[in-house]
Amino acid sequence: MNQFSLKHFIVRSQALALYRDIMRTMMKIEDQDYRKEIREWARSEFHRNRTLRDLGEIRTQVALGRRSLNELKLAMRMAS
Amino acid sequence: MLSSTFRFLTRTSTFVRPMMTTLARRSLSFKPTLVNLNDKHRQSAMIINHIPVRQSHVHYTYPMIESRVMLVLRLFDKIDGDALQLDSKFAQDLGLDSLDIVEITAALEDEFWTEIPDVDSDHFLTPRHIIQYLCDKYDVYEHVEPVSAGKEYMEEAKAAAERAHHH
Repeated sequence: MNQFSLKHFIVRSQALALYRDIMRTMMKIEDQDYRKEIREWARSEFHRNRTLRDLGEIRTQVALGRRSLNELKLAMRMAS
Repeated sequence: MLSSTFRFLTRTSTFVRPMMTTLARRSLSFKPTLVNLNDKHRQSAMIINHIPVRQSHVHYTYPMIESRVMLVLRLFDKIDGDALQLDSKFAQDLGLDSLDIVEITAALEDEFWTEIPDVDSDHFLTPRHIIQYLCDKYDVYEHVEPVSAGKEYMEEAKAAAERAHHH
């Protein structure tokens, strides 16, 4: 019996939406080295937490990622 | 000034990207806009000239879309350029996972200046699907075999009428 529920599916799509927002923000950065750094950071964070199964933990990580993304956007806005 | 701003807004793509201020920093090749710099609206004209305008008369063709999509895919570092074919599946043949598909989708959005929602990128299984999606988006159908509503249809219609008549 598959232990993945609807809530897992919803949380998974939230995580993918977060990754998509990070990628879209990354595309706007002109500096290629900084872009690579952001991509490596995002990939390593998401791959590290890949095997999480507890809904609470996943939601916490997604929230932390959102916060990091907001900080990144703020930094970009201040640098422009 | 208000009318030229309004004309500018209606000429650009339907989706106005957020953070328009960052667009001025993009190193795109600016196409010279048809703005007279000597008229009395010079202030607004200078501002408009610095924002890259998506030309509405860019002609999308199938070879152009195909080559751009394959270029974006080749530039992706996790894709092996030799193994990449039109019909090679991302998950099985090229070994990509869902995060990579999201990244490829973001790169395609950047290349084609459009938005591709999650519901659509879920259906990208091969490069051919991506090309077909973009062709549908830009109304490109020169690669599709035209359905001839001529001889074959007439024969089928005749056969069907005959069957109905003799039944």
